[in-house]
Amino acid sequence: MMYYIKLGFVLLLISGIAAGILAFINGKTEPIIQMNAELEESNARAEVLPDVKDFVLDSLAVEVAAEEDPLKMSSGGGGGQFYYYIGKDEAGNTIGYVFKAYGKGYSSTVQTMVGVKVNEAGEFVVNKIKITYQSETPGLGANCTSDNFMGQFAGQTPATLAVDKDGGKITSITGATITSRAVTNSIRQGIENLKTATEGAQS
Amino acid sequence: MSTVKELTKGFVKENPVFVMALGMCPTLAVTTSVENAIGMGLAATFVLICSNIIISLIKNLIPSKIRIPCYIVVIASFVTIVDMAMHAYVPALHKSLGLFIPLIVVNCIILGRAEAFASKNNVFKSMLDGIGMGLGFTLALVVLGSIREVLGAGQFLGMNVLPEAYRNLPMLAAILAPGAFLTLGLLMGLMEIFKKKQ
Amino acid sequence: MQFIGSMFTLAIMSIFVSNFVLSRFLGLCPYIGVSKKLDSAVGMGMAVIFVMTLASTITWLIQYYLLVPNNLGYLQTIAFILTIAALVQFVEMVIQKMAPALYKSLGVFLPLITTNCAVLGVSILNITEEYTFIGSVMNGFFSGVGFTLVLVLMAGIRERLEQAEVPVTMKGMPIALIVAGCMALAFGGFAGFKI
Repeated sequence: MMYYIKLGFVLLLISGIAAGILAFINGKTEPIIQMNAELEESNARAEVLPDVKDFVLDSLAVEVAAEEDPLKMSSGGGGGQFYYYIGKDEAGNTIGYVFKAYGKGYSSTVQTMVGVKVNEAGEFVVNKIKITYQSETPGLGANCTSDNFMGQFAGQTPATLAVDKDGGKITSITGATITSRAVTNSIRQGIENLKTATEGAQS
Repeated sequence: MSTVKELTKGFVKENPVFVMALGMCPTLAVTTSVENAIGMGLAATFVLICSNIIISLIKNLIPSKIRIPCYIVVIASFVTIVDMAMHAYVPALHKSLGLFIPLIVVNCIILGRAEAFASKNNVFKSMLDGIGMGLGFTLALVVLGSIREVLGAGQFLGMNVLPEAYRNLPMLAAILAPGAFLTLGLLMGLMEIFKKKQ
Repeated sequence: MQFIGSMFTLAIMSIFVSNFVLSRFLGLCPYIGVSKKLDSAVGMGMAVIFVMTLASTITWLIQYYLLVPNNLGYLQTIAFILTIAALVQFVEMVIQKMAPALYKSLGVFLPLITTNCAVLGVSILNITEEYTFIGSVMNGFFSGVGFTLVLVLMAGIRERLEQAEVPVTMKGMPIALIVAGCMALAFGGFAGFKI
């Protein structure tokens, strides 16, 4: 009996030391990880909508019928609250808007930072996009981060934002229609939300 | 002489991947590009060296009945350290290796070396063994990664090496799952030929 | 009704589309190592299904009732692998006492499962993919079924391969990997499948 208690004690001791060391290192690295994540976000915002001095966070409660999966905890940022940033220049004028679009791709939820400007006709036009997170198939869906694919979104309006198979102007990635469609549709949906949000603010 | 042998045996003669067929999961999963291969190889090497050192240090303190759980705790701690460090300092690589960083814990190479080598040898030898085996593993990953990246994307380390005509329509299968199995199978056959010749 | 629908989707996804062995590259060691004989492949498969379901259940509870409330997320790897090791040991002892016949057929495979990355893999995936408790248990079970399916298929092929004329240098591991590649090609046909 004593022998087994000793065994348990040794294992406990080793685990305890390990946990202590990990806690120490976690304390060191966690702030860096968070800082990196925030830095990445703000860099992505600045990239899709340049010349902005200040990003003002705003949000709108939207009723998006997100794809409910009873076996999953959340629907990956689909419904509920729609967050967007208003980009202002030094004089305080609105240059454009930035939001993050979530599209359910083939094997992951693709996150895209989207910068939007308003043209003379009052339409929302995509300025630039940047895929900030994806974990799609290497060689196929993962190509959505290529400049060839991301570049074609610049200058598109909601009317033309659809993959070519759906009659839009976005050429989908070879062999990765699901990913292309996820990105494109999530951006269009985001602009629709933005439209509702800004109209609500004006009236 | 024997020092050099401890170090270099892992490169070719006892290469953990090609000869002993250990650690197959990360080998096949992360070799879609050379960059991932190097990242994974070095992460595993670090864990292997550290766990070999610690285990050979504490081998006399652990009762043999619970040695495996103890080894696992030591290995898992170092894996978590690597995980956190990579997350903090190389977030992009951490993202693309994803699930396979925590899975270094169950990489048979590491537990295998702990049980077969570090628990029987002194600290210095165990360290050399860790370095050798780790580098052998990295070497195998880089070879596989190079073949798959060049054939499947026409690139090497992200640089274009094959003409654009090829890159527009590459042999995609090489980068997808089947290519991983086929490439490793053929490479192992090749190793077999070399062994016969010697 | 919707619940049954998602369950069906999950089953198809984890057995065929994102098969653990052929598309996620998890559990390759037993896939290559224990696929020489059909009987042992079936035994190993059953043991894996059992342990994966149980491990999914317990690690989910540990994550959400022990680690998350205490802010110990960074201990995930260490906690999960120890749980799995203890669980395998425990299952082995219980089966040995309660069902000696079952122990005879499964016993030898159980210790191997601790280092089967599919078990730790499914536990971590359950958390990263944000499955609910029931979803996790289902995912564990169906992933195990998917693993067993390809393991048994592979064993069937390799038993025949013994009699085939394979070049000497390709005998054993190399040809097994080539066969695995062909199977991965076939399973690749499910890719892009969406329900």
